[in-house]
Amino acid sequence: MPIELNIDGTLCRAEEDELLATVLLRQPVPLFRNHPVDDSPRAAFCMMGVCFECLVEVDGVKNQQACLIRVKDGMRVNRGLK
Amino acid sequence: MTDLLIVGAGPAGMSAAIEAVKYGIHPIVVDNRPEPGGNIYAFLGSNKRKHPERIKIFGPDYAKGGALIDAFLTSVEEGRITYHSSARLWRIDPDGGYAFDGPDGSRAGKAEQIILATGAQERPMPLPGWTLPGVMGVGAAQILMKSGGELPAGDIVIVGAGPLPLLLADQLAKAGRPVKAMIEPAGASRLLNAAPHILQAAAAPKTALKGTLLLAKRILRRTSVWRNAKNIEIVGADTAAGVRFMRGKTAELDAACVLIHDGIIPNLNPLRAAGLELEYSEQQKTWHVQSSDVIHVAGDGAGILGVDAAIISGRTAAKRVCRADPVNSDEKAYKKQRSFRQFIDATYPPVQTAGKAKSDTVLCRCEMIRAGAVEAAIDTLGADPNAIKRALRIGMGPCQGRLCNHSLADYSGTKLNCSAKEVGLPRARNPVLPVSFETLAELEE
Ligand SMILES: Cc1cc2nc3c(=O)[nH]c(=O)nc-3n(C[C@H](O)[C@H](O)[C@H](O)COP(=O)(O)OP(=O)(O)OC[C@H]3O[C@@H](n4cnc5c(N)ncnc54)[C@H](O)[C@@H]3O)c2cc1C
Ligand code: FES
Repeated sequence: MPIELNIDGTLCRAEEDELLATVLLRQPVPLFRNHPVDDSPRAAFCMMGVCFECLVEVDGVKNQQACLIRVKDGMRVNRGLK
Repeated sequence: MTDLLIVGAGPAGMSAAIEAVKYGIHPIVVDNRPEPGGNIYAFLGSNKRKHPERIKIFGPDYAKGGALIDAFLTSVEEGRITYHSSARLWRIDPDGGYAFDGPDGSRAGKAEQIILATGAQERPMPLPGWTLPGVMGVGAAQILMKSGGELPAGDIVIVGAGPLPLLLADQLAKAGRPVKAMIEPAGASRLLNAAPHILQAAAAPKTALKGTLLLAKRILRRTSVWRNAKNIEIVGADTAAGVRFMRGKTAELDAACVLIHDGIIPNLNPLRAAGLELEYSEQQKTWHVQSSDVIHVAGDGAGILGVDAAIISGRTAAKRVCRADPVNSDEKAYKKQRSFRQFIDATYPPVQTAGKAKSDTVLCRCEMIRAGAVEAAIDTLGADPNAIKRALRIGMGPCQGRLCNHSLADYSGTKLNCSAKEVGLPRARNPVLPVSFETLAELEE
C-alpha cells in the first residue's frame, strides 16, 4: 500500500514497509545530512546500523538511523540540508 | 530476573532462541532491525510475502533462510519467545545487567544468561574520497537491494575482492544493473597461494563449488576486472564521480556508484563492553571474542565462518546455557565450515587499506580525523590507542569507533612497524550505542 511522508516540507510517496534510508536514497537529492564537523554532504553508507552516516530527524526526534527505520504514513523527516 | 536474553535475530540468534525453547526456556530476543534475518537473510520474511521477484535475484541460498525465520516467528506467536524488533541493546554488563530501548520505551534488567549474537559488519576501507555520497559498502548495497532499494543511477564500480563482491556482482546483473568494472586492490586475491587449502576445502564441496562457479560467472559476464590496483582513490566533488588507480600507469573509470569491500569483521562493541576476552586472529586479521560463564558469543562475533556455522553456533550456545551436551554432528559440521573458511581467508586476505592511508585520508568518519593527525599524535604519544583517542576524539562520535577502531590499529601498526594485535583497541564502554538523556532519566525513575 502506498503511503505519503513529508521530507523537508515536500510530500513524497513510498511503499509501506520500506526503509526510510531506501526512500531517501531515491530522492532527487539523495542526501541525508551535512556533516556536523565540515558540512560535507553525506548519505547512508553501511545500511546495517553501524556507521551512523544516515542520521536524520524523524517526527521531531533528532539523530535517528534511517537505515533501521521503516517509513510510516504521515512521517515527517527533516534532513536539515544546507 | 530474565532467564535468557538473546541479542541479535540473525541466523545465530534465531537458532539459539529456537533451541532454548526446546529445553523449556522462553528467551527474550532483542534486535535493532524491523524484522528478523540479520545480514544474510535481511528482509527475507517480507520479501517472501510480498516480493517473490526479489527472492529470485538472491537465489536459493537466500530463500533457504525462510524456514528458520518461520520457525522463529511461530515460536514468537506461540508466546515461547518474546521478540523485540527495532530495539537496541545499549548497555551490557559482565554480570548479565542489560538495557535496551525500542518502540515501547526503555527496559533495563538482569539476565541469568545472555547470548550475544550481534553479528558482523564490513571492515572499514578508508580510501581518499570514501566519505562521498555514492560510495557504499558492498554488503550495504546488498542490504539496500534486499530492502527493495536501487543503487544510484549510473555506472557501478566495485573496489574489492572476495566472495561477497562476486556474489553481489552476479545479483546486480540479475537485477539489470551489471557492474561496469571490478577493481581488485593489490594483495586482495591470492588464488594461487591458497592452493594447499583447496584440498581441505574439499570437505565442504558444495560451498567450494559455489565459489568456483561464481568466479567463472564473473568472467563470463564480461565485467572488466582490474587486478593488482594500487593508489586507489575515489574522485568527485560533492558525490562520487569515478575511481582512479595505478596499474603501471594511472587509470580512471567513471562511476556514479562505488561499492567498496575489504571483508567482514565481528561487530565488536557490544562484546567488548560486556567485558569478554579478546583474541586476535592472524587468519582473519581481527579480534574474536571468547564466551564467559554468563555471556555466550554465537555467530560472527566468535569468528566469521558463514551462515551455516552461525546457525550451529547459536544452537550450541543455547545448549550450553541449558546445560545440554553438544551434538557430535554439529561439531563435525562446524569444523567443516572452519576449514572452508581457511580457504576463503587464504584466498582473499583483507588488504587493510588503513595501514597505508595517505595523510589526508579520513580514518574516523564521525569526527573527520585524518591519518595525518593520527600520525602526529603517534609521534608524541606513542601507540596507546586510549591516549590517541583522548587527544584527537577519534572514535568518540556517534558510531563509537565501530569503523575507526580497526583502522586506528592497522594504521598505528604500520607506522610503528608492529601488528595491529600489539597496538590493540581503545577501551569500549557502556553505553554501547548513543542514548538520549530522556532514556537515561526514564530508567532512573
Ligand atoms: C551484507 C552481508 C551479506 C552476507 N552474505 C552471506 C552469504 O551470502 N553467505 C554466508 O555464508 N555468509 C554471509 N555473510 C556473513 C554473515 O555475516 C553470516 O553468514 C551470518 O549472517 C551471520 O549470522 P549472525 O547471526 O552471526 O549475525 P547477523 O546476521 O549479522 O545478525 C546480527 C543481528 O544483531 C543485530 N544487532 C547487532 N548489534 C545490536 C544491538 N546492539 N542491539 C540490537 N541488535 C543488534 C544486527 O542488526 C543483526 O540483525 C554476509 C554478511 C554480510 C554483512
Ligand atoms: S547507513 Fe550506516 S548506520 Fe545507517
